[in-house]
Amino acid sequence: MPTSGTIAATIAPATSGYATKFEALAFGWHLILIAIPIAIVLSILVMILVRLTAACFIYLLIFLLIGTLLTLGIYVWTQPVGATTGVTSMFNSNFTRAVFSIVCFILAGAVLLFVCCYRSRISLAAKITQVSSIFVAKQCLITLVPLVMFLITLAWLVLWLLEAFGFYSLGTPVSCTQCYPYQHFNLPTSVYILLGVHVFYLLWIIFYMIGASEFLICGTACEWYFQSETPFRSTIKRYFGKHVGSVCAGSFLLALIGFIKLLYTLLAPDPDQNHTGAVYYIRKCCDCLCWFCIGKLFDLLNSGAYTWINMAGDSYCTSVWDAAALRLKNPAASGVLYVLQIVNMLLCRSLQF
Amino acid sequence: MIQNIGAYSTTIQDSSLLLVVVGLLSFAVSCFFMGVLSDSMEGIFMTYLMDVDAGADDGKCPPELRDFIDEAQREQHYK
Repeated sequence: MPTSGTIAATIAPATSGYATKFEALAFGWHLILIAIPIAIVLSILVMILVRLTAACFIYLLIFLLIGTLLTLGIYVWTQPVGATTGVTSMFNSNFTRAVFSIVCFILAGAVLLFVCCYRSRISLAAKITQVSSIFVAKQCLITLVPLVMFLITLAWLVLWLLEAFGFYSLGTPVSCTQCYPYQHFNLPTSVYILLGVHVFYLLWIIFYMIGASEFLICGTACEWYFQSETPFRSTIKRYFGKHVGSVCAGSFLLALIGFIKLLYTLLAPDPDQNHTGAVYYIRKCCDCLCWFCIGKLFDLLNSGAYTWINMAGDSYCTSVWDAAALRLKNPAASGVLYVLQIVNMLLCRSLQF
Repeated sequence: MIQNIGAYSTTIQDSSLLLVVVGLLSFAVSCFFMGVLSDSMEGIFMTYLMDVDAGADDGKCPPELRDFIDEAQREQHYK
């Protein structure tokens, strides 16, 4: 039977590289401490930037998009036929090049038309962005909500892991050579099912924490909008008094989608067996895009529903339906706002790095 | 870059893990802030839509959105 000492001596050569990395972590702990305030300052700067230049920022993005589409169209149009390298190697026939360029020009025209038709809606999206950053500045304690939820989730995750090890130990120990430690257990089907339920439970709790945080932020924003004196306190009271079940329902749906995605990834046949080359990558992209869209769509429906619940006090299903219908009545402002959220997120993250 | 700083040139031999930890922490902080901004945008937008849909008759709204509420009310009046 190997002892801890012999195992440590066996793995020492393999882990010697990690030792210097962990030593660096121990010596550079104050760099980590400095990084947090710098990250906070940069995030606040991005928010101030968004507040001061929301409208200019949106128009800049739109014109950048139009410029990119036009440049791409002209570039492909003017490339000589028969290029064997770069992007143009895909457009070796005049017909494909012409179609691609025309599609680019049409898209650029459509974006320009959209700007002309929905100028007031774009201004509304800019104003909403500005008002949101004023809200965050005035209710700055609200930024602690996701942090608190994150810490609670971390603590809970430790418990979840302990439970998972407990379930795993329900298997029968077996002896086998050349096996990893976790391969020394034979698990009956019932334990596999139990572990599956346990994974679903993990997803549900994580989405519940995210949902609760969204509910509290949306509710506080809603109360602040109507100039309530204690927006956060009223939202907390409402949440714990009436709407914990609604957040449970919302997070259950997201967890279900996450679980189906997980099962699909584990059980679906490998596309490599049926497809090769470009088809393989196209299928992979379609899979990713499909799951991303479904996840984002439900995420969007949920956050709208939480605001509706806060204002109207309806049940979860009614709120999802009504909030989606209201959003569909205002597609332009909704779309611009959604794109802006993604761009803000990317901008802030790229600045941090 | 870290290893070029005098104090760390001898003590830190491999800064890759340190950089990963710093990157992850910065990423988490930006996620917290942008998540809050994103959710509040969503909340305020939805509240505005509901307010306009309900007729916006109580007059309570952020002053920055007053013009848009008035315009929406005028549009509803013409309809």
